[in-house]
Amino acid sequence: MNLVSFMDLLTITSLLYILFVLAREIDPGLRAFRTAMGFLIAVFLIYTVLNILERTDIGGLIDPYDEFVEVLIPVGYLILFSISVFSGKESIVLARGRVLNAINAITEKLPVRQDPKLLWKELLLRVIDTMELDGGFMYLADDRETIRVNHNWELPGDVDLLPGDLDITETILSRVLATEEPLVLEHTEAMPDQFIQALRRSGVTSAAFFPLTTETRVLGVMGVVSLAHRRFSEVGLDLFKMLGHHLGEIILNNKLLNETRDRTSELTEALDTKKRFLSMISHELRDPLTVVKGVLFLIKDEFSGDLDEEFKKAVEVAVVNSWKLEKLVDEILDLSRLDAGEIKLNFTPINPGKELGQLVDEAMSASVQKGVVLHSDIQETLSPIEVDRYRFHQVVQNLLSNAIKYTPEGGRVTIQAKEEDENFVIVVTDTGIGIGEEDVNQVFDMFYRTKAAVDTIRSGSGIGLAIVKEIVILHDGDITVESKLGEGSVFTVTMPRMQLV
Amino acid sequence: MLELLNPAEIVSLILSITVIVYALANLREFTDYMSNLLLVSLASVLVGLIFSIMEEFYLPDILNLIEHTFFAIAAFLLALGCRHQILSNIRNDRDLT
Repeated sequence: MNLVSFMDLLTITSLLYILFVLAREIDPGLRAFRTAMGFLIAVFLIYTVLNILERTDIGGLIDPYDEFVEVLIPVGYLILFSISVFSGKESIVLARGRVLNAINAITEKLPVRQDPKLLWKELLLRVIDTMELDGGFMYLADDRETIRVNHNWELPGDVDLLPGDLDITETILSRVLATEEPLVLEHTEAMPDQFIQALRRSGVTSAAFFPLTTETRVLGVMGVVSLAHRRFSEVGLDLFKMLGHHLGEIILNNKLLNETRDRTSELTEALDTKKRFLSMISHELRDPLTVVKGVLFLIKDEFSGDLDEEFKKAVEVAVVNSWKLEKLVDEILDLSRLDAGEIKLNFTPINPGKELGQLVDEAMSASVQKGVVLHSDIQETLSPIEVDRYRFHQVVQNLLSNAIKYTPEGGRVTIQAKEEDENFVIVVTDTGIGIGEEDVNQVFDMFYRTKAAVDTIRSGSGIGLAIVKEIVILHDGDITVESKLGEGSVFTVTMPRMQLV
Repeated sequence: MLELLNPAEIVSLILSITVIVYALANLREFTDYMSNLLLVSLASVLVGLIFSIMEEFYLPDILNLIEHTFFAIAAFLLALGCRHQILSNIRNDRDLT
């Protein structure tokens, strides 16, 4: 046999081997590849056989066929290349689909509210299950906490993955934390890292580590291990990166949710305690106060003739202050009841013009005493409205007394009452100290006093307007304020004229 | 001298060059081992064809041997690529994704 025949024999052997391999492969995904390769091999084989025959006695007969088949060889290559190009594109799409399916399987139907450690363990288990691995662990940098899940992976007693004295910056974990990129180790023996060596001593052959990332920072690292050798393809790295981001967001959301829940429960508890305290303290204060007031009135009315002037003045001061204290206690009680929804309104029809006239008359003495002009601008033709008379008085009294209180001498307070469509509107305008922009939104909050108010008049509880707002809301109405610091305020109360009793 | 040229061989040569140009134009798509082996295999066929034409003019025996050697290399590379493709497909079934 000459060398040329030997080469032909080699060619035929290679081609027959390919046919043998192709014949054994039954994966339907490789059908196009098999067909194209089969065509090329057949053409190549025929060409080589014809070449051999060409060198025999029947060479003359073979020649034209040989030339025809030779042309088909590059065509066979062309078909194979085309399949490679298209199947490459198709495989990228399929791989992406597999990545998304895997992430979906891991993250779907996760219990949103649960103990963080249980959630971490659940996530880890799902990742290991989905990827059919032997075990995994999660390291959370904030808590320096490690959670481990085993399937077939058992740590021997003398192996501690992250012993207390281990400096995390000297391990592969810190590299993943710093680069925020997944890291794959197909053979753990290749790394001198103390942490990796601990993995290796526990029988781990391949491992993958990926960062648990959020939009702003890295929370930690998740690691998955395989006792047998596992290959992590490029698509696998993509999966780890996307998965790490999804898991990071889930862990962060869970953490924030738990923090919010704890904070809400603390606040609710504090609020309940405050309400209970206010209710209790006002009840406890009211009884002794009634006794004190009774005694003071008794002294003032019955024994005033026997007292000297200085003592009389002292009794007067005590009476006035007991009134103030009673008013404060009443306000606190009102607020507690309003807050607890214990106040039931007793709607009755009233003549608003008449009622407001009375209230303005009552406030007149205080305005005269303060040197403030109180002006009333109330329509004479106001229709009757249905309100809780006592609470209606409380609203107007509060607004008027506030306006007079915070308007300096020489200022002006105006009360207007009018009908607008189906509503009854009261507007109280003053030329007082006004409310700064930063305070306007909080002026109806319980116990809130504006800085200007505190600077002007030290006394005041910050309860009045909170009660006014609650009462107006109970009447299905609304109260607004417009104000400019140093120029005055306008409080507008809007109530429906007829209530459903 | 031109009468010595075999038209089928010239057509095969032109076709091979065209396919190689097409493959090079899509080189970015060939990220796998198989495609790269396929390209080298086609290059061997092309070289074989060039020697096949040249043998009509010079050193027929030696150039004929070289031609057949390159065809054998091309077939061997195809076999190698094919084996790799099938094996990696089996491994991929087990792989993470």
